[in-house]
Amino acid sequence: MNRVRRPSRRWLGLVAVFALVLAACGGDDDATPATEAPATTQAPATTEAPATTAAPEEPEPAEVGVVVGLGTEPGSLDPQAVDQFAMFTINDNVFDKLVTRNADGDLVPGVATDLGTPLDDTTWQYTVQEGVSFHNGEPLNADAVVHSVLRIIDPDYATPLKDNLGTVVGAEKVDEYTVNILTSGPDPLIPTRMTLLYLVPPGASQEADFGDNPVGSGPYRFVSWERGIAVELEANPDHRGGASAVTNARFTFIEEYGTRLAGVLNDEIDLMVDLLPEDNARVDQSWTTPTGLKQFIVSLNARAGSPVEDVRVRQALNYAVDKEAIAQGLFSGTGEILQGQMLNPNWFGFNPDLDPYPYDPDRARALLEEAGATGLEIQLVSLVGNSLLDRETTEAVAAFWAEVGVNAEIFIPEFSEYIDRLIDRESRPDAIFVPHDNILFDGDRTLSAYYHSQGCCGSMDPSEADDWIDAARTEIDQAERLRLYQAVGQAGHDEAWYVWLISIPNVFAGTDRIDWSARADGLIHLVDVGVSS
Amino acid sequence: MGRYLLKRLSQAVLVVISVMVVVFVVTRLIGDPVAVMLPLEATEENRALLEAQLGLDRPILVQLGHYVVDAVQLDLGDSLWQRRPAMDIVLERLSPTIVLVVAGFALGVLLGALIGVVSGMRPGGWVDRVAVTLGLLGVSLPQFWIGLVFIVFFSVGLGWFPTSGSGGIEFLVLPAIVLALPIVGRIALVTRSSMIDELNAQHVKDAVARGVSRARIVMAHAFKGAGIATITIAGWELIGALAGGAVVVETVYAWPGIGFTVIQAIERHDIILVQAVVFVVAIMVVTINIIVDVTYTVLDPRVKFGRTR
Amino acid sequence: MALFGIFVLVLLVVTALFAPIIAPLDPNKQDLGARLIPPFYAEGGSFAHVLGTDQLGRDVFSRLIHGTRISLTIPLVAVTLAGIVGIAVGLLAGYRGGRTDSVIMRIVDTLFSFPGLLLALTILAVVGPSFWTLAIVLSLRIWMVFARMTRGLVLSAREAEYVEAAELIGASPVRIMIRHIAPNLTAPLLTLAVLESAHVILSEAALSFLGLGIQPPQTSWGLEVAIGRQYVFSAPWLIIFPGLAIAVAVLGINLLASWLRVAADPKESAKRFAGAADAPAGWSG
Repeated sequence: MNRVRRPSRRWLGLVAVFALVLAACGGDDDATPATEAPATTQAPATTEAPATTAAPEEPEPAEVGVVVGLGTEPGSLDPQAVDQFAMFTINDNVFDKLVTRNADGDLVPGVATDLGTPLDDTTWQYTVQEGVSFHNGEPLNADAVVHSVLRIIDPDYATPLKDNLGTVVGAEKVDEYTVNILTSGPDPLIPTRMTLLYLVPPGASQEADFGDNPVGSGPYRFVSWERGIAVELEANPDHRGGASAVTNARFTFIEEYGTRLAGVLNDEIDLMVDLLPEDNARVDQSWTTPTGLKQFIVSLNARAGSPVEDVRVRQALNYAVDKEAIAQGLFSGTGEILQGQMLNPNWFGFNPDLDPYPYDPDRARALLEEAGATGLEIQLVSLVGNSLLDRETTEAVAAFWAEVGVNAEIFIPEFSEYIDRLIDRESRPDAIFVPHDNILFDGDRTLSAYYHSQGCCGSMDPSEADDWIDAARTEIDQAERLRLYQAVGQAGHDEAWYVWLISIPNVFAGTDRIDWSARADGLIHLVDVGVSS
Repeated sequence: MGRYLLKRLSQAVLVVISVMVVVFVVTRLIGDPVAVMLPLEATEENRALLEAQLGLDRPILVQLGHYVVDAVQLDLGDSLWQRRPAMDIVLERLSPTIVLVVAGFALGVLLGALIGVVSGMRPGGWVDRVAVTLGLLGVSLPQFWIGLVFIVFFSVGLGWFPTSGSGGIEFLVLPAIVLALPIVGRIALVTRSSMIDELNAQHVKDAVARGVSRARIVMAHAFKGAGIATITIAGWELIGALAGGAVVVETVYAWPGIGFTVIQAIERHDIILVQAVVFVVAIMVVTINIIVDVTYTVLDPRVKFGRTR
Repeated sequence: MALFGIFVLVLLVVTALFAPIIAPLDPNKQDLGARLIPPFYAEGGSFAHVLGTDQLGRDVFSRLIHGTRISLTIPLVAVTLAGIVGIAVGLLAGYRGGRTDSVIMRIVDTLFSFPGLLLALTILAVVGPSFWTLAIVLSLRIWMVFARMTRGLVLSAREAEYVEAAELIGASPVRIMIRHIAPNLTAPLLTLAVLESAHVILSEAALSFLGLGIQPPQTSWGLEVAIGRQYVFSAPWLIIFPGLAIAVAVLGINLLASWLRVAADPKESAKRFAGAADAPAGWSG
């Protein structure tokens, strides 16, 4: 096991010498080490609630505030407008959905009374709980659901989230609290898709500034958004779930990792996202999602005519990479090795019978020799700054390949060119590193995109797997659907269409006043956060 | 004076227009903004839909036409990232940048001029040697690196200042110092150099011969002469801080100004927002240029209006 | 001080030329079991990796040595390009005078008013950062400096009596240019070139830091700092040493430039190493 290294104090000395020289030249005060931090370094809202709420004189339940440090700022808080994780993280507290997920990632009813009932091949029926209303007083009823569905699929509205609704073509009101979701054909994924449909109020959502001033029906209300700095929420006292421990929350946006971490170390931030494994020992607490959310894989071009068309070469490239070293070394044990497939154990369609290709460089060399591919030269397309340690992982894979005599030239194009390479149906890259995530947690999206020869990103010739994936897409019988997906996974494993590396969980860090645990979906539900004084 | 200003203004408009044309042409070639807004595996259909909605599927000349017509009315379009007018975003983020740049610039010029005058009075002395070395250090240290070192040392190590973001004055201290460092260095070296020139000038020597006190000489003669050189370079420093230093310093300290915004916009391929930032900065740069020229002309009677730089 | 500058420059050039010989280890050789080892002076460090290892277990010292190559080649290429273009334009403007001069100088003035780093960022975001685009974009930002200085020098040289005399006796313009004017240009332009190299080093580092400069697997000091900044707490040596390398290189070059000024112009000797100040500003690193 790799022990996490304690922070060394020596380097501080080196920096100190440097800073002293600079401080002296600027005529600043002597850099006498301070024993405690002055109060001025506190962020505005760590313990006290922001002043935005009216505070009447009579005694009220004490306000409890938390500051959450996010890495990126959403472009809009309209929950149907942008596909950004920061938007989901904030809005999952503000908006309701028909179906949602519990902390373990299982589907549970949201404002609907159940997970939905398929009436026929093109209709799913939902009943909305009675008495729910939006924060501005608009009722959450069948009309609101119909409005929300029609808004997100409207071609003129053109939202990147439309794909999540897949087959949904419309919605109709049955009675005040009953609504039918209409699809173009049988779709077993409708309950899953409903977890990505935030319900918006028909009135307020038509305002031009809805993205700056979102109105939901969830346990927290939007208070303010200081662009570039923070979003503030407050608990909705009328929420059906009852009172929450945290009354006020401030989501601050700090892209620079080091400064975000410094915020936690200085108690300016209570909870932050994307902690690097190296800094685990430095923070009071850290949490990891139970399973990985981002899958790191390298797609290999299995089509005829490719330099890696021979299955032995592709298997060799799998054997050559020490996934354990990447998981333990690069990710300090927070990465989980993918089980010879792109799906995660908690996604629908996972095949438990598959194993990762073990690290066996000798076997890799032998296979390459057998295939006459010793000294193979290929191009490895990759991207930078999209996911934690993506650059490092790419470089690590290339170095492992180099050890068995495969010379991979790393090519990191500009991001949209990377996308063009990834989805180019005509000429597939020899090898392309992909950070894949799937917020549906269902094999449908992943396998349709990556294991289907006609999918956006598949690099293989047509095979039986295409038919299985097509069949599963409209298969309402979940057992049969699972069988089909597992067969697809098996086929992909045998053909070594990919080098399956690791699955990266979301890692959070926090101060010791926070009592919390990470959810399977990586979101932060403020209702689950406990705060000790 | 009026005619001169008019001429300078028309030049300034020309500069802004040429900047905008360059930026328009350049940003049309930037990577596809739609790619950044969608998941990796988005459907072809949704890509096309989004492109059409953003108007990116229109012929480039049509886009240019719309752009020109809108830009004249100061409408630079909606940010692709934030889906609201780009001009609003820039104006919102402008005041933090101005606060930072003014603070860093003032600190840099005052400190730099002070060091320059003191060291120029006795060239070769130990004060001068220290000052020159520090001046050279100021212009030689990479700002982004000093910024990081300061965060590690002053914010995390000593806890004196917050690590990043904005709020009270305590958030401003480190970024302003980092922004000021190269300004201190260059201003100090220039002021020192002109001080030495001035002190060696004939009229100053005459004054010394007449028995005028040293303090008076420095203030009345040398400092005034050196001031002109300092102001010229200070104008450049202000522009440098605005169009260069602020980008780096704001990025390191997550200071929510236009420099940080332009980096975020570039990352998100938000060409509209990039255009808007460059547009506003270009206007500010030419304005500063005019102010510097006018000040220079007023201060130094030897320079005639119309013969700039 | 000048000696220090020369020493630094020679050291850098030698390092860049003989990087593979000087570097103790292969800069790209990774060892995931030996990542983030601290430098020799800290506990847990050793002389096996003098300056420690990075996030992939690569030897920081060896990477620094190899990084010298890009960090020095970029300014060399950028300044050479800018110098060739700028001097040619400046000669043309200065020698032809009249309309040519005023048009050229108008363009140069306009370019000086461009928000430099901002445009460089935008252009790099479009064409995609690489060694050559970076060198060209950086040279685009400085050629005007050479043009303006060359023009000024040509104008003052033309006024010199011996040039007028040569023109009177009917010497060809090219001959006048080469025989009489060029010698006056060499020293100041050389000084300017050295000075601009320092600026280019800082600019390259800043652009690489912002992610729009050198891209892996190539490396430069600025890029090393950019990558290291994620590890600012767990492995500060990853940013300390590349940053120091930049600072020392720039300082050395600045010292050399000021010495060159003094050597070229006896009037300046009273001021000693003050030359770095006359750099056109608008630069930030």
